[in-house]
Amino acid sequence: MSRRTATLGFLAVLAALPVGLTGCSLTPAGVGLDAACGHPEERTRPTLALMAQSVPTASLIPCVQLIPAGWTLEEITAESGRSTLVLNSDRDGSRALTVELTASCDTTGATPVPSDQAGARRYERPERITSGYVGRRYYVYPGGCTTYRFDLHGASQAQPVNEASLAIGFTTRDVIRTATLRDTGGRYPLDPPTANAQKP
Amino acid sequence: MAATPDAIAVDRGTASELPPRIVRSRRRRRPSGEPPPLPRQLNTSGRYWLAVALAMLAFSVVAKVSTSVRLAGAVVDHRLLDWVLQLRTPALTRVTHGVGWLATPLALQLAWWANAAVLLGYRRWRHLFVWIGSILTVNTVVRLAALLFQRSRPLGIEILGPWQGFAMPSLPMAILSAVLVNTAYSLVPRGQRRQLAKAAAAVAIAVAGLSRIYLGQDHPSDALVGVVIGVTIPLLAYRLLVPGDVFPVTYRRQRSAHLDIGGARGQAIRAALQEQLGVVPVDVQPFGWAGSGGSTPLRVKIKGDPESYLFCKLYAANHLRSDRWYKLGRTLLYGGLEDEKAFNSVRRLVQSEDYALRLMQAANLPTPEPYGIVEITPEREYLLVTEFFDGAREIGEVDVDDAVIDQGLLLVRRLWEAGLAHRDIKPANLLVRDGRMLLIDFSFAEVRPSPWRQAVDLANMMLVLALRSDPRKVYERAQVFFTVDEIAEAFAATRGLTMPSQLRRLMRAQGRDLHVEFKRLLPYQISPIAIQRWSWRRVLLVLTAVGVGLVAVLIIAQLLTSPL
Repeated sequence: MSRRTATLGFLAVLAALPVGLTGCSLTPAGVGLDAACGHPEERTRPTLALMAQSVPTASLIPCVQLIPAGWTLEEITAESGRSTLVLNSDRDGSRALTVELTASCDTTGATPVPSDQAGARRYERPERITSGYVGRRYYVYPGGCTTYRFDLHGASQAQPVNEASLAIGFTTRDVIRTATLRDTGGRYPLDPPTANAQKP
Repeated sequence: MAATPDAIAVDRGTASELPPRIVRSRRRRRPSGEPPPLPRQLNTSGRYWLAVALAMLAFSVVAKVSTSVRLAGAVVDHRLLDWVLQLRTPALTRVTHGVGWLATPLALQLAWWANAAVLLGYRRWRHLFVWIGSILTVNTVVRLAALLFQRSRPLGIEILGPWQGFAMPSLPMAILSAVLVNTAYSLVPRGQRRQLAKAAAAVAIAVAGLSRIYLGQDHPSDALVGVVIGVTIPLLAYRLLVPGDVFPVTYRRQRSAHLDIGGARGQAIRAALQEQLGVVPVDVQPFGWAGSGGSTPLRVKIKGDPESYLFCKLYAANHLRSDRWYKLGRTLLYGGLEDEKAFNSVRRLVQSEDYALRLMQAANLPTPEPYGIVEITPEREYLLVTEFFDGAREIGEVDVDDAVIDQGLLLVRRLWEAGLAHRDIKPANLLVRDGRMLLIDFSFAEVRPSPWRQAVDLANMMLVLALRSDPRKVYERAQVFFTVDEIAEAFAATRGLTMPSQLRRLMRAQGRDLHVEFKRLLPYQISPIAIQRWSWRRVLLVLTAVGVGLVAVLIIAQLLTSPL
């Protein structure tokens, strides 16, 4: 390998470094991350399996249901103890909605409202309703909690909240568990035998 | 003004002939295809790691597209995992949590800061840049590979430690390996100590890897692939960009301009002198490093009867970069004051100095005889070979009498008449031997310089001469060779940064402001000549430099965070 080739190669790698430095400046879809809720019979989505592993007790896992026009999925992260989905809106600003999955959450000060998700209790806690909407929504279910953090800066309130709500859905842990077992030829289950995931 | 006498012409034989009485060896032309003396080499271990990395890449690609291969790999991984998990006990879990700290962001950040402090302290910029570049490259490669493979954490087991993102390859293991390899290659000198450092690194990597597998954070293959990436990238970077023969790790305080001349480079210098000049070097020693900052000056003892010396200046890519930065700095500070075009290759840098040296010779100035250019490594390292003024001493170390003063002033007069400027007149570049003044170092020499630059040469020469004599005497002698107008112009042109730093330092050490003393001697004074040159190009350059500086600050702030 000539020095010029080595240097050019090294510079090419350096040129790609902003991607590494910023963590992931590409969209999740652009790098092949798929957190769509999908059909139970479909193949396991690795991102959802990883999110399920992040909170081993959670009976429901948030997933991407339908991205409305003007919204984009900005970021997906999964680590031990929590996972997040972040959505941007072209009208309501970047990181307009952050959805966080944790084992538990503090709903103090939040008002219980009728839930649109089977097996989960829903709470709302508005924080600012002028110039957009800032507030939290909680879905509490056995073994887990999903928090929606709205940070909307558009003129209207109801429409973007509804759009964001439509974007996110839930899949059950059982669906992911079944798909994982099937995709590993029945050898390896998602959770350890002692895991205490609860039925919603 | 007096006519220019030929008093300081140096008696010399035929130009470009090596001194007589030396032992000549047969010159040898390097045949096409034969590698130069200092090629970049991966070495056996580098090739081994590269082969392992490529094999792993090939297997990973096959596993990505073939379910059966992927499942077979998973089976092996889980068998190993199951075996390790059987060892789980509360006590061992506590221990593995402890040793797993090695691959945590805090531990790696502390290691990075310690490395950076040492490398900055010893100004090993090249090692530092390779350190940063290789870590960023490992980080990027691992993150991209993780997105490609999208492997979940170990299935069906309880994960006892923290984790983040997909499992394959293991980012903590890759970064830990890269940090340890970087530490071994940038901080530890070659030889037994580095072997020990590598062994210690291997133990640390193995312990951290086993701990992560035990805690269920990684599959065995995740950790293994992470280690291979983390070792291979920095290893190749050091072998190709900072080879130990060329850039050895030492803890001697030295200027970054001065390259190590031992080891393979020392041998390459000896072989090149023998093959290309036909002389037999007996000894190669550093020479005059205290006053040199733009090259690596050497004194080479040559076999003969009696033995004689050659003076050599080793130029490499780092000197080329220094020249670029120097000229950029000057352009930012003064604008297009002189020719600030940077050289674009080491070869041209050396050719330029050799040409200047030959012009000085043609002008019959007391300069060293040029013996040509010797190639150490094509386009990377060259040696400029000249006569060595054996027994000559720096002008700052000898008594400066009227004869020496006249020679110095006449030297400038002759430079003016030949249309040349030296541009670096300082004590380190003016030697005296047997009462004769000699001029050396033509790295800044310029053909057809501006009148301002010629005036600066005169003022600097007068200041140097006055350092070891008396300004009044120098001024009186100067009027023999120059008009009062020319002397007044010289001191109007010279101030502050236009004086070489060595000259300024010596004047400070004497507690004298010779510049002011000379100006007092002048019957009249000319207003200081402005040296600022403003143009749109300079404005844009300054704005660009400020922008780049701000970005650099942001990048440095980012780099100071944990590599993990």
